[in-house]
Amino acid sequence: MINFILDALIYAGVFGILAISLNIEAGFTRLMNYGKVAFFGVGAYTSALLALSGYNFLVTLVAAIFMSALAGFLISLPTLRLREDYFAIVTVSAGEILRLFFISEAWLTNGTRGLPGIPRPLADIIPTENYLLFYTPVVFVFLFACYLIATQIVNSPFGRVLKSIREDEVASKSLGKDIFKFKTKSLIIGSSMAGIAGHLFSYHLRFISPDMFFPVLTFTIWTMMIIGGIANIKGSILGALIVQTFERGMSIVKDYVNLPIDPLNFRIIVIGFILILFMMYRPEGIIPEEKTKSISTRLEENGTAEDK
Amino acid sequence: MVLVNLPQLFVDSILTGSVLALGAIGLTLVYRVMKFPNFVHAEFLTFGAYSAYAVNQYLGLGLFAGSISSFVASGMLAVISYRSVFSKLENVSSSGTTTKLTSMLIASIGLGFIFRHSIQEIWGANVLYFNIEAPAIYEYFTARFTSFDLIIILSSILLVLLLHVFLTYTNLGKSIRATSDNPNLSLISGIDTDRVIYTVWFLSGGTEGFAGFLRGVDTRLSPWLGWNVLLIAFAVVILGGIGSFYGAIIAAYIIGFVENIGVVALINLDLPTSYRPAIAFSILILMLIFRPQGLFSTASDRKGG
Repeated sequence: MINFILDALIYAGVFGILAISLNIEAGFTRLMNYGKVAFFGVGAYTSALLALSGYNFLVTLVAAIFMSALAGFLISLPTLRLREDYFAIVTVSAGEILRLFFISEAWLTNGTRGLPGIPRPLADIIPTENYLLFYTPVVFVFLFACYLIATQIVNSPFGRVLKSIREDEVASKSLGKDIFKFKTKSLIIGSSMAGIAGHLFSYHLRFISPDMFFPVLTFTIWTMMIIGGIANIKGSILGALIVQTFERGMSIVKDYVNLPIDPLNFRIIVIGFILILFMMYRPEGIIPEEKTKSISTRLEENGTAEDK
Repeated sequence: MVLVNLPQLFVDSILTGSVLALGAIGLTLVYRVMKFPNFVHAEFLTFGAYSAYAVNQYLGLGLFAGSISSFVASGMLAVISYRSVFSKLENVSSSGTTTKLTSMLIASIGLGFIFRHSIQEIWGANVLYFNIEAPAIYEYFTARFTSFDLIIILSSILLVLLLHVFLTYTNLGKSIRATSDNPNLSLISGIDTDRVIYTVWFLSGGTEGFAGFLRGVDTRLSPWLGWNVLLIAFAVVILGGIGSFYGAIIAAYIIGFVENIGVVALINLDLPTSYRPAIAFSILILMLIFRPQGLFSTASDRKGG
């Protein structure tokens, strides 16, 4: 039972990182990344392959971040100058092509059979039955780090340029901002975080295969971001917790209650309804976007307080 | 080196192109009015195929009844989608974080999930086949093709022609084109734009449904039928220039040829043919780099809106 909860928390942590990374791209820069799963997959496979060749946790982490960032950079080249709907189409296709790559290049990825036996870090020190007690805090350290980095970024001058691109591209361009560069950086940051998530994910499961990276995963991450709040970093973590609780709840309920509908179908249909209903009635999510916090806004708030 | 059977390659390419043309036209029709790429179209294809299957399996009717039911059923599903979801989102005010385009894109994914997994719930995740007699096989030079192949190609061309005549010569068709170009101007010119939009959704869904039916006859039915066609249809639409009706038709046949030539190339290069969908995707990327406005589109369609 305790392992079930810890496992759920690890999933929530990994998906929290993914939702934060998507929020930087989609929430703050309005890059409709419909291929998040691709960058997650690149991170997961990079870590898995290197770990199986004997490299340690930190080396594979750096490699996963680098490869995912590289993937983000490459996909940005032909697409970022175009409108957001083109970007959505290209990224969703890129995710599918990458899955085909994982399936087809069996010499590297072992095809549909996947990569088993990824070695856990410090496995000889920590007993197997308590391993999750050790790994859960590790994931949460990473989640907290990503949270801090993301809040710093979106409140920095750089983050404010991202928001300005989201609000009005032409106005931002007229202030001399190189929109293309800012979008590329946003995508690279988001992709590196997805790489971290992939890295943590493959070490947790110790087995990865192409059928973990279906497009539905991308939209699960979207659901988390939308429920929590578009352009709210805390919201992304909340969203990840909510969706994870729902999924775990479902997996318990289906053992006790005889559902008239297949649990997998039910889960995805519910996600579909959530996406539509939030778009219709609460597009800003549970926690709406907060005002930018910076030195100048703080000064302004203090200033008005003193005037009174 | 495998010898290339040119006549066969030609027949296969036309066959691929015919189904893609319908898929791309369906996308284009709605895109021109709504200005967003609709991911639910995948499910219109799938639903069309399955409704024809239902008519075939439960009522024991043949392919012709199936084709009609695929068009009508998917057309109705498209109208319901618009009525229940997309028309509501048109009035949602754009806050800072979401625009009309983003909320429609996201809702189209959500609706797609609901439809796809409802279909999977009803008919199961396994592949199904139409219960029909084996087709006659013809040989012409070195090409082998079945009577089904002929039906698919001819009916696709027929439907494209009908749509062309409808859009060009009827009053409703002209209103559709006017509304696509400028909805406000059409409204003040006395065009019932609501009626136009519903007609567009019906025709678009119907065309997709028919395409899904043809795909089902050509290959097999699965809940993922539409999704697999859709990604390639998007490549077609961008190649033809988003929103261009005739561009989409030509691009569909171009992609049809490139895909089949590509498969021969993959075999000759000893690469797995599972990369087939990647061929259209590569063309998509090349297009976006060198000619993002598409082959047959004006530059103004590219970044506006």
